[in-house]
Amino acid sequence: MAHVDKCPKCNQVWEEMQTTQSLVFGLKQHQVTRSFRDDVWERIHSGEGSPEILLQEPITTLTKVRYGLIGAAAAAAFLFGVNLLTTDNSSPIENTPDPEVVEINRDTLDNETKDNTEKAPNAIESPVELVSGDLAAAGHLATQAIAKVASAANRLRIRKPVILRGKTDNQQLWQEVNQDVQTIDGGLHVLDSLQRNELVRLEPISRACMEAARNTLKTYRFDQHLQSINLVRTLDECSLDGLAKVQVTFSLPQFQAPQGLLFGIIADDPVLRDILTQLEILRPQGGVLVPPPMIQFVPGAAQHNMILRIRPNMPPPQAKPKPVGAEKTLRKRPRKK
Amino acid sequence: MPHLPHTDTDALQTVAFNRVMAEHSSALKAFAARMLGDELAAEDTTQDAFLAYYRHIHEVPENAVRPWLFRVTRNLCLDQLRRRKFKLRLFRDVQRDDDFELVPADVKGTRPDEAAHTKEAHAAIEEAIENLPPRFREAFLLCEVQGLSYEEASGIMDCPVKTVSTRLFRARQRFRTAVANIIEV
Repeated sequence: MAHVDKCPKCNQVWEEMQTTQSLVFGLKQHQVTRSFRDDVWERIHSGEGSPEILLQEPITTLTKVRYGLIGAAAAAAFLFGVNLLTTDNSSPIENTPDPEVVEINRDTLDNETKDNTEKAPNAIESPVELVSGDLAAAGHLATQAIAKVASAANRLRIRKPVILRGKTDNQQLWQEVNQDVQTIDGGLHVLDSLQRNELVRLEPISRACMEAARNTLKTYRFDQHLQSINLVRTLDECSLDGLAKVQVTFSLPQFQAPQGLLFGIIADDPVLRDILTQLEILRPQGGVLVPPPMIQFVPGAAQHNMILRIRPNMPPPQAKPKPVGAEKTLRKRPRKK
Repeated sequence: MPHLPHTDTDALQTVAFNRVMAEHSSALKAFAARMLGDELAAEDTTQDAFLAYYRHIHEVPENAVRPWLFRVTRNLCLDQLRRRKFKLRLFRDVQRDDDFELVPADVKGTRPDEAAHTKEAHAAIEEAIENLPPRFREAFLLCEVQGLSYEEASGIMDCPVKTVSTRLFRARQRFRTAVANIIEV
């Protein structure tokens, strides 16, 4: 600084810097819009800017139509093949004579699950909860899942300032927070499954929120941050606001289900399942058996997988006589202990 | 604790990406807005920069995220300015670097302590920055407004540190001259 005081050139530069700094200091702060992050994620999920998209040549309408027809023919052939295979299957459930009612027998179910696991390496191995119902029930299931996820997300958002104020030893509070987090996870699981099977359609933005929330939930769970401030901060990043606005469009009328469609949530890999078992994560135990369909969240990882059996719209109950044992079938199974 | 599955790596990446966005989005938008002189275009450009980052997230070292993002934003801005050049020539009088003059009469002669707090003064400062030649402007914005070091700016602008220093010196002079025409400095 002594040199700057003596040297006129350096002094001039120094003054110029000071002046500039003082002028620039009060400049307007530019903030991004509230939807900035969601917009970026939406663009990422839509594949915008990916090398594949950039390298794509413009496709003419005629070519699109041609590709569409080829795709439709391939899909039809595939479905036909699958249908043939399904018809040949000697599983008792698939050959149920009366389409109105689905027989659920615990022994049959266990056998069927065992068969499926032997055939497909990715199939679930742990005990499964069989869920059955008509297509409309899937819509109710989705609606309830959304309501539960939204209310849990809302509760967490409201509690965030309280928890962020400092570490708290309130065990009950943490239990409730964990419960909400697990409810979100379970609800997202249900929605994800329904969407993957094209029973419901979520808006892209809702989908992005769900994905972000789900990924974040997994992250902190693996990091064992269940009772830390980071948990709440991380949850903030997973678009709780967005979750509360999740909207779902039902695509049930377009869905042409075969006599019985069987699908299960098999996304959980063995590692994740082990961890879930250790943590006793709440998982959805499906129930679209009895109208109105209900979702219940029960403790115990054994119920974290679910098979949803769906049939086309049921005819009125009086149209055909119910087989013996139908009442028993339609009641929800008692929880496994 | 078992090893982390593949999906968990993705989850960590998502969280990291969200954090980077939260940390740098405003600064990048401010930089882009002053480079382009258009807030909406700046928002889009910032989004483009983050899309690029998402695609190269594994290639960018953690300690170089900020300069990397600024460099991409700067390139995107220059690209846009190049494309706009033709329209600018048609619809706007582009001030040449040498004969730049900006004299709004209404705020001239205001005392600095009063002027510094007026909207007019801020608008004038913004305008003075906007009227700097792009090369000087980017050096000015990076070092003076965003507070990056000369080394970081040289990496972003793809030029030697000495060049950054020279451009910054000239940018300051022009900026001061431009502002002095409006408010007493």
